This record gives sequence, structure tokens and C-alpha cells, in this order.
Amino acid sequence: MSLSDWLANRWILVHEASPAEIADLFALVDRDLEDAAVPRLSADWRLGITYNAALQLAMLALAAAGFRPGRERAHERAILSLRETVGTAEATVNLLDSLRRKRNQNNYERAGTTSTAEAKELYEIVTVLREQALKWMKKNHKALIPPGLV
Amino acid sequence: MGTSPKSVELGEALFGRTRRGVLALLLGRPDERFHMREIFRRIASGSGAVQRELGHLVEAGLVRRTSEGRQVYFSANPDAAVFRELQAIIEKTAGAPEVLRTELAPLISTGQVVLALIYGSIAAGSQTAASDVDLLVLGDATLTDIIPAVRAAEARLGREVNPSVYPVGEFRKRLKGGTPFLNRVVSGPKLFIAGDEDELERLAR
Repeated sequence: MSLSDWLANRWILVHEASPAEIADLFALVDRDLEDAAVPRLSADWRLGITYNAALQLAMLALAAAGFRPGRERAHERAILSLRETVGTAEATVNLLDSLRRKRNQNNYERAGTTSTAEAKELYEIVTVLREQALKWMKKNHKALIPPGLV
Repeated sequence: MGTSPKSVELGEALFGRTRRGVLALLLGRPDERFHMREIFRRIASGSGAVQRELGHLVEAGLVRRTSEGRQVYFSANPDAAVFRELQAIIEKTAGAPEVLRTELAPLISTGQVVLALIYGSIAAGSQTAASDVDLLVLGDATLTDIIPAVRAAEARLGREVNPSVYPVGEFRKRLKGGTPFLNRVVSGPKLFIAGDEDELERLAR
């Protein structure tokens, strides 16, 4: 299903991104990835922060493509849209989608469900995702990239 | 939603514990046959109750009884008129361990998963229509390895599966460090997918 189908279903809405917005979102991604690397934080929080970085990457790619998520299931659809924007592999998108639920569980239901190994693995995946997103931006939306990242 | 999920314990409403266990095992693995002793062991029910249930299910044509020498085996009967429908109901209400065992089998056979178990409401037998499957996996498998199996199981079960994947060393360390979550899992009700209580005790030491 393409983004135009998503638009027809109102899963996403038309949105005009500005360079300032993209710069802010990249800054959030980099802040989160930096914080997620702090070893004394719990694995639960590290996974949650890393997931947030992935979510912001999905939002910025969607914004650069001219859209924002609709009101319902906004986070889920933002993550799934990575397939259509950056061209992220389905296996990675599925993993991020599964961790969206784990992050909710960590935040609101119980502590300790995340291992350090899981947090580290997700961190490595999202670090690669950031590089992929930046490469995609350079190729398709160069005018929106913050000057420091060009 | 109009109905409180807490009022609906699907598996229990449909079948008694022993029948549910027998059906989940046999319909979850329809290509295999099981010796009576193995059925007792896997579903942890008394031999009399299991024998009675198997007798009823054989009479109804849902289960096949075959003999080889002095050994008697039981298997699901895929020719039963309601086989597919019953299998779908069992998978959705009681079949989580079997479904996950099938999906994780490649990782179990390579030793990447040394132990896997279900904890939480499904293990306690108090699941509702809205319950997730809480899964703990121990071994060298990564989330990247586990998630495809989890997604496939979710599709078959119609339930979300929440995995926690721990390397054995980290599991042991966190358990000894007193992580309440892991201590609760270890001491609470469990359904083993790979390994058993003895293996868990060994890994926790």
C-alpha cells in the first residue's frame, strides 16, 4: 500500500515540512541516541529512548515526504511508514513495531522486561536507521537537511 | 467495548483444564503422535483424567488411537468433520505454547534459544480475550532472530506476544541482583516452550 493509499484512508494527512522542523527532529534523534548510550540508565529506559529516536526518524521522513500521521494510531503508522519513505526493510519495521508495545509495557506496566542485550541491539539498529534516513534525505530532500548534516 | 474482558476466560469457558491441555497438544502438533506418558508429562494432569479425556475424544472421532506392538499412541484426527474449526479455536484459546514452540523450533534446534517460557495470565490460566502472551526467552538469540517467530505466532494466535530476550549470563546476574520482574517470572506459573523447570533452575544458579 503506497502513501497515496494511506492518504486516501486518512491514516496520514498532507503536511508541508520546513527546514527548521527537520532540524528540530534530527536534534531530537541525536539527543535520544546520545542519552540511550548512557550505560548507567536502566535497559528499559535505554530501549524506550532509542525507540523514541526511531519514532522521530519516522516522523521526519514522513514530514519530508509531505505528510504527518493522522490522529488514530499515529505512532504505529509513523513507524510503518518507514517502509514507504526511507525504504527500511520489512524485518526492521516489524521489529520496531513490536518494540513499540514493549516500550509501552516498560513505561506503564512493569520494570525489568528489557535486557541490556535487547537495548544494545535496538540502539545499533536505530543508529543504522539514522544513517539510512539521512542518506535518503540527501538524495530526495536535500533542501530540508540542516546545514550541519549536509 | 461492551463486555469486560475479565469476565471472559475463553479456554476455561469452552473446555475443562485437562481436555484443553490434550486438545492443545494434539491439535497444535497434528503431524505427531504421542505416547500416553508423554501426554501426562506435558500437560501435568493426573493419568486418570487424561485417560478419560482421551477415551471421549477417540470415541468422538477427534483423536486417533494407534498401536505399535505394546505401545499405544494418540494423535489428532485431521479427517474429523470439525478438525480445522476446532484447531483454530484451540490455537486461539489454549495453543500459545504449541504455536510458539513451532515458530521458535529453528532457534531451539540450533541452541540459540536454550529456554523459553510463557508467564503471566496465560500461564496462570486466567487469560481473557484481550490477554497478550508474555514470553521470556533465554539464549544467544537476538530480537532480530526472535521477532519473525513472534510475529508469525501472533498471526496464528490472534494475540499479541511480548518477548523479553535475555542472554543466560545477564538473566542470572539480574535474577541474583533481585530484579522483581524476573523473580516473579521464575516463582510464578509458567508454561515451558523450550526447557523445563530443572533447566530453569540450572540456568538461574
